[in-house]
Amino acid sequence: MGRNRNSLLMACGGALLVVLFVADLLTGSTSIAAGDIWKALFGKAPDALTGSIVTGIRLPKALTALFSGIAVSVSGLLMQTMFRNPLAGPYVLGVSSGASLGAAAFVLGFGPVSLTGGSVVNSLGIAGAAWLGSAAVLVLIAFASRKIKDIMVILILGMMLGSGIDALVQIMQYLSDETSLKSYVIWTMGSLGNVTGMQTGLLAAAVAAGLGIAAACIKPLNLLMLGEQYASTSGLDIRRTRNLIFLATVLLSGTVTAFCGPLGFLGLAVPHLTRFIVRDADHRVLLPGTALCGGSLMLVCDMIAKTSALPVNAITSLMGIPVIIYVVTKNRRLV
Amino acid sequence: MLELDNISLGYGRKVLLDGVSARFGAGKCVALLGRNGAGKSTLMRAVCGLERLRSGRICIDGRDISGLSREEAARMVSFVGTEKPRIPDLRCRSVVALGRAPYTDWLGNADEEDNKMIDKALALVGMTDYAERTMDSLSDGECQRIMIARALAQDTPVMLLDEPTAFLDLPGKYAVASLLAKLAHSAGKTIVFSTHDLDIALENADGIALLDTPGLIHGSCPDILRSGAIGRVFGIGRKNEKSNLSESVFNTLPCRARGVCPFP
Repeated sequence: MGRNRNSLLMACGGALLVVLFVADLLTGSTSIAAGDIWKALFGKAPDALTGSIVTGIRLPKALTALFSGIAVSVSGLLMQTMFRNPLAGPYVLGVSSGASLGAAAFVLGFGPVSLTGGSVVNSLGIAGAAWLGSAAVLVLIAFASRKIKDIMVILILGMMLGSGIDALVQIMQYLSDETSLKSYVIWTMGSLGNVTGMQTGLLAAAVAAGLGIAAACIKPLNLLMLGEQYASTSGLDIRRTRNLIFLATVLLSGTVTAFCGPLGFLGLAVPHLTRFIVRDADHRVLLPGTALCGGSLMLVCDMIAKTSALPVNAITSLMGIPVIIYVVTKNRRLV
Repeated sequence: MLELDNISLGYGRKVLLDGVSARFGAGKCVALLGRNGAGKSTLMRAVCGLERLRSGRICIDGRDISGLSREEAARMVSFVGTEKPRIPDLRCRSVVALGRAPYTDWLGNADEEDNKMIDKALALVGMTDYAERTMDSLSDGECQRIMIARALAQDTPVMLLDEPTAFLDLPGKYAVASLLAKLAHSAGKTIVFSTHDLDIALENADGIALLDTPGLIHGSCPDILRSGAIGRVFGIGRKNEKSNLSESVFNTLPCRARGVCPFP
């Protein structure tokens, strides 16, 4: 019974994701007929403008929403299971702080230089710097976790590192001029719009690799639910698993944060929402469920952000908070 | 069969065990006794291959545990800890199925043989009817049984349990201890469980291993009782300025530990 219900839920989730993706393609400031969008996707646009809007703006943006939603949600699930903590999200290890430091160093430090290089170089530069920042933080944590046995100590270490880096970023903000400060603040608000065709490809590749690693961790994640002592006496190599999860986190939330800014809240909320829907703690169900749920929610947020022209980060939090409060009070049990 | 061959264990400057040798045969249920901090848990971790020995070696069925990979070790020794994983929406059967982890594919999918082992493990601990219940709906005793079933499904010659009778009511303690003895005898496993419930240990176990730092005294229950080692280790009957409570402590001890048998 359970298996059939889960397959049905997955099929519904998949269908919902496709519908929302199409709806997201249809949403935008200029109204384009569904038929024209379909034609434009296959390079037979009725006119050049429609073609460039669909393939140059709508499609990359919708794909970015899809990938980023999946990525932050799955990495949130990885963190919640690894730390056995319902409050863990994709950013507990300081990934976003690392990314912020990278972005801040680029915008505030080299801002004036890069601004002359055009917006593509600029946005790629921010993304690259942010990605390096988040990767550096996780390399540091991974290195520390070779010595530290207790996973809780690693959690505290990650949070402290994050707070320390945030303080550095604040100092940099304080010392910077107005123009670069604004472009940094806009990055922190999160945006799916700055991602262009080639970057979408990069994002897709990183997310696919991250998801592959996460999928390979399904059995270890199930074992980790019982705690590290049970996991290791059941034959799990804890160090190797930790490193794989760190790597998946860099590829998933690190990359998304680099391109779209911190979208943290979704990653905390979606795994809870998914547990509420699928009613199964098994990661063979929970992981694909979280991916479908996260992708769908991000597409909805993107549609709202597009029609209201507000920053997507604010939308995800405003939408997510009531959902989480409802799930938590209805359930009164977490992880 | 579990063999400790001249092992020494400790951390920092603290020596827990020094040059200890012991042998626990198949089909035996052994209670591991000792004061708090004497190293019961550390010894168990060492048998699982999770603790580095200072010297000596630990062998299970003749194989040195330190030379095995984590997965190979998990096929030799299973472990039940003190933690009760009360995870919402996690079905009891899924927990028992996790015991098959050293044998299943990368996703952890159970094949026909795995499913047979899972059903058998649930039946042995009397929890077949609980298979589809979730872990957060169980009592302490039921949760303990599921964790024992998980270790049984792991199908190892040696099974270790860290204080399996703690936090249970009196009938619960007896039920778990007698279940362990029954499992050791029927499945031919070596089962070692640590406990502070002396009378329950003496009543149900086939043998006692008593941590007398830095040594380990082991033997059958009557032998250990007769030797007076229990009284010595737990500081009973020895009057000194440090423990002038010793007489009253002695009187609260279970009858069997005092050497007075209530059932002649």
